[in-house]
Amino acid sequence: MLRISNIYQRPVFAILRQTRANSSFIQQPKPLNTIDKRSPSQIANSSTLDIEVPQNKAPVKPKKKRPLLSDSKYEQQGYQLPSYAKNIGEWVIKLLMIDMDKVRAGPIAGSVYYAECKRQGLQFEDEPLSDTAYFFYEDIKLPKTFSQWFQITALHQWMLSVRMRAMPFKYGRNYQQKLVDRFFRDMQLRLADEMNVNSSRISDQYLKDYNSQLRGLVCSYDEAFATDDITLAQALWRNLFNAQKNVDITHLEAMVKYVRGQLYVLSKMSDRDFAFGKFKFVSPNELILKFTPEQEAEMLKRANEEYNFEINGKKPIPSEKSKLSYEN
Amino acid sequence: MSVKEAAKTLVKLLDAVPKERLTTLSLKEVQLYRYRPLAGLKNPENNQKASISDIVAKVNPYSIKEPQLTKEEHVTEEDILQQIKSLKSINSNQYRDYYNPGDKLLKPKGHPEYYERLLAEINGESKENLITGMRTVMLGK
Repeated sequence: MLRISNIYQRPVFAILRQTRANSSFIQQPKPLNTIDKRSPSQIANSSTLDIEVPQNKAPVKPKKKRPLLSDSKYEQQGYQLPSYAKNIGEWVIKLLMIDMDKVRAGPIAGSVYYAECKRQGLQFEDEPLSDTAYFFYEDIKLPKTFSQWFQITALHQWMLSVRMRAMPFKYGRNYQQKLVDRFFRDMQLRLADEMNVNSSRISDQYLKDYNSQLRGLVCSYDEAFATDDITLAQALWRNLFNAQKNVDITHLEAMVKYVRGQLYVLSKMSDRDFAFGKFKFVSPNELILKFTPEQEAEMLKRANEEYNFEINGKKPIPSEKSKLSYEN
Repeated sequence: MSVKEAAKTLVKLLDAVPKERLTTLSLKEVQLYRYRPLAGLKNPENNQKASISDIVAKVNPYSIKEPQLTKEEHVTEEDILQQIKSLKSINSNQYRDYYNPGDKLLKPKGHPEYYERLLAEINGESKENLITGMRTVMLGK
């Protein structure tokens, strides 16, 4: 039987692939060592333009709140696995030689990282806003609606999926899949529990709509990521800013800085650290500066101390084993 | 500099912004439409601009309303100078250049040709054919 991957080994396709790899559409950034010394929220606040925020007719008024991680008892706060269960688990992993990098996708991407994305734009009526939520709803004046929360969460989820693409294919793909699965599962439950959408026909319709929005925004942000800042500003305006007519360009600038900064931090994180769920989004109140070579050397030294068996002398237990690189 | 002159500079800058390649919904057009009257310029007549509600109406059984603004905008000279400063800062690509993610993210290990293929498709320089399309769907890259 002819398999598609075999077809691809043929010389014609090899040439096609080569020519494609040679053409360079990606705009190469020029080296630059100085930057505007204001944080994204300071940039947003420097604007004097008086923007009218559309009246909010759909506040999030929950009957009960969804937990940040999940309903599972294993993810409740303060839950401790009994030590006999832990030992059995480690033994099973060792005996069956389970690939923990694959298993980790669920609890890390599907739970820890999803919670991190969800937290950024979370708001409820008559409750104080978190730091990042304050930036999105007060500093850059986005409307406080469920759809806006979706846009903010999807933006953060896209940033994580850009980093996941740089992991080895079979792991990165799995991480992306788990993150999106969890996103839509949680949205379905949020619509029912927190937005009081009781009809499943209507909530399905919303979810389909959000699905097509997600596809569109991933495409436009990806295009923008590989081209330039104005394309990113346009993509953000179409998606995050709902294509509103009275947009403030200073707010767009603040968002461009925010997104590029987060992606820079993600690019400096090793596969191992990222896959273990150690990434946290940097607050928009903080300015991200480039790492100096000394700082990068220090990071590499610490990674070696933590993960390199030959240096720290600690043999990792089966569930903490990983084949991912900690040096990149 | 008066409001009119400042608005003229802003319109000039906006005119130089490249057009969106993915959609007819255009930041440039919407902002030009907003600032041309301030600069004493006329907006082109019969200008069929796409708005977000038109685009939603095409794919959805329900329609959305654009938020209605209740008051007129009052734009001062200082506001416009601020907008010009921000637009120039975005145009200079300083954030892309300073926060350069490098080849680690731009040629990702899991899928090194990802961005090149995407941009080639968007720029219309190479079309995906049936086989490459099928391959992407089945293998994921």
